[in-house]
Amino acid sequence: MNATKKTSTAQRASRLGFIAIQLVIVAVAIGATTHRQDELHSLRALPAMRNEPLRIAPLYDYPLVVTDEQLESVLNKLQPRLRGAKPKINHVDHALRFWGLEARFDDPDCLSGVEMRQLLLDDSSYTAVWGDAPALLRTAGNGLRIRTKEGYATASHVDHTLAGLAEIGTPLDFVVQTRSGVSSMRALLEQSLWDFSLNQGEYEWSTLAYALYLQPSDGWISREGQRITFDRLAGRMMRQSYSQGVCFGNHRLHSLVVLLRVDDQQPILSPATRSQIIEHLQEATVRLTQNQHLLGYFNGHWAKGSDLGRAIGDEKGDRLADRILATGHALEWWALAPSQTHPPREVLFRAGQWLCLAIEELDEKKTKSDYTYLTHAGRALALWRGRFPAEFLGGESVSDESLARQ
Amino acid sequence: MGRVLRVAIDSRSYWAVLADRLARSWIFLTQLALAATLINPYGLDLLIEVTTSSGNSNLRDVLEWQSIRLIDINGLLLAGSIVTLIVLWRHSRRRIEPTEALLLLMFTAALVPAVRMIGWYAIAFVFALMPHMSDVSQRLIQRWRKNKSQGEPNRRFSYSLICLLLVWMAFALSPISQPLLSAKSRDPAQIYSRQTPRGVSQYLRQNPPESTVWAPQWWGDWLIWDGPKEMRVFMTTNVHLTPRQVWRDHLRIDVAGAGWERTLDRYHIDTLVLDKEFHTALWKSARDSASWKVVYEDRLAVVFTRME
Repeated sequence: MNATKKTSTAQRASRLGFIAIQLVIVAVAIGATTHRQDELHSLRALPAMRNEPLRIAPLYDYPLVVTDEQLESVLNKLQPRLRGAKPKINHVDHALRFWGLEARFDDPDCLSGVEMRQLLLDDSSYTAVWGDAPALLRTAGNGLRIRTKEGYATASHVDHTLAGLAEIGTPLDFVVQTRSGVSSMRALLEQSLWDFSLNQGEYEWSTLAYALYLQPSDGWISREGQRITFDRLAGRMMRQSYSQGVCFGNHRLHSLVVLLRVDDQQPILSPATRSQIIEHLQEATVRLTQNQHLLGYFNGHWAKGSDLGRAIGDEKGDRLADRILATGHALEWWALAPSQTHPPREVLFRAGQWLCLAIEELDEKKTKSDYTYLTHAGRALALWRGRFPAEFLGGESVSDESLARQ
Repeated sequence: MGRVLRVAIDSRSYWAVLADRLARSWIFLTQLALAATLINPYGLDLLIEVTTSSGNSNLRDVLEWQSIRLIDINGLLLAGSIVTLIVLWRHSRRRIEPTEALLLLMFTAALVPAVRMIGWYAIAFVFALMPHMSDVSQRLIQRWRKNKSQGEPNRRFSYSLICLLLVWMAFALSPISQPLLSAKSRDPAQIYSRQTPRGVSQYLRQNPPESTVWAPQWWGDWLIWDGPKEMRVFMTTNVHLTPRQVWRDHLRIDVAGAGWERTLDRYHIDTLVLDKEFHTALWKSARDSASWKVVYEDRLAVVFTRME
């Protein structure tokens, strides 16, 4: 009887011991897996951001590219006469980038810089002009997206608005009013980072915004598991042939210049990549110089040479709008680029003078229809005089606090 | 699990399972086997990756990750195996162990959504099949012997020698025996299948491309292994590691979809390697394009490079 009782007790103890061991094993397995998943998740954390974006200031002042009188005439012609119902959002964000936050105009048809930003980042201002159009700002979880490529009431390129807001100095804690509540610029930037894919169709403006807002780091892991660094972004931009991409490939060149300028302020590029970018820009300059028309303009065929097989058709690349676009963009990125990437000064002067004359001759209808290209041209000319457009027309440098009160 | 179920069914008690030494041993052995898989360069990350990678949306486009279809050869094999099992179970006097049932259920459940699991299903099928086949065949043999004679079957050493001879003949005639039995190494044509693009990799070694090469993903691994050292290919069989956009672009090029040339431009691809059997549309489009020229062709493949 006692032996049976002892056996029964021993068996019970053995079973309980087995259960206890199993509980420990399962707890360790779950704990280790959860811990590791948390670690892996934290590796995908977004990089550190700075509240105030970096500013890229103009470097040169060449009156032979554009005189004071010519610049004043161009800028007056390109004032943002966007007040009224249903202004095209791509016109608004181009104009904001062009004129900056400090811009104010006597012409009642013109929107000020503050008003333009408000139209983009305050849903009530947007609704006041676009009525019952779907909201420009869409919430996505904790993030925020700007509707893009869905018509005149939306932005025209991926992260174009974000990049423009960065270039005019919008801080990340700037309040954004959406249809469903209050948010911030940070939510826009974070959502862009989460959405970003290295091989997405348009990445030039995303790169620009990241360069201005992100603190130096060893990159971040995209939603697809790729490590994104500025070296990699630069490589991506230099991978395509020169004339490929929006605006005959010029936005890629502009973004590469911004990377260099940011790298001057804080290291975001490896020395090898920096050298590659400079070589790439120098090669672009050689092609532009070789293909500059006698009158001074560039067109959609500016990158001809080894890109012959990929050139855009003659008619499409050589209209007046194409010439303004190509010339304005080239002057714009040159204006911010290191001088070692510049062409001979004669090239700059002829391009600048052609642009001034071409803009001068535009009628109101053409000015309106090609306004987005013209903003790049106008900005380029102002930069070549060492100033931003609003500064040239006497715009005051307004603090964010006073801007916020407006 | 099978042992656990058997004990639980027989004893009708879960406590009995805990007392069963064999069940406990199997549980510990299973846990030890799982722990052993952690001995790899990635540790726990490997197991996490294995469980999550099958959900990758890129894999839906790869044939072996698609669901089994009964009208395909794989579906017919599955159906045939189930019918075979049903017949054997009907005639077998051996009871169906929970282990067999669980293995079959598990691997069938794995096979249905992804046809690539058929190899693993086959192992489980054989494991479940053999005990019952053994039982049925033994009874058939006994019945046959009864009909023939009443005596014990003859046993001779010569039968064993004949079996060994058959095994030796199979080995000696197989390709694997050559390097073991003679110093002569096998010709590559004997080692690799006829579908291996050896000619392409040889051409690329002699003419190394400067930029990324586009090739079918099923040739990507081979080209990396046998092609020039620094060569990069657009896609390998590691489809689950590829960003979704890149995979979509690969598929667009694969079928010469709208904008395929622009897509190649975006990735700065100057060399195309096409499988003649599968890339009929792309082959035609590249041939008709003013931007590409043929630089190599054999029975299996054709290589295009971009025109200067």
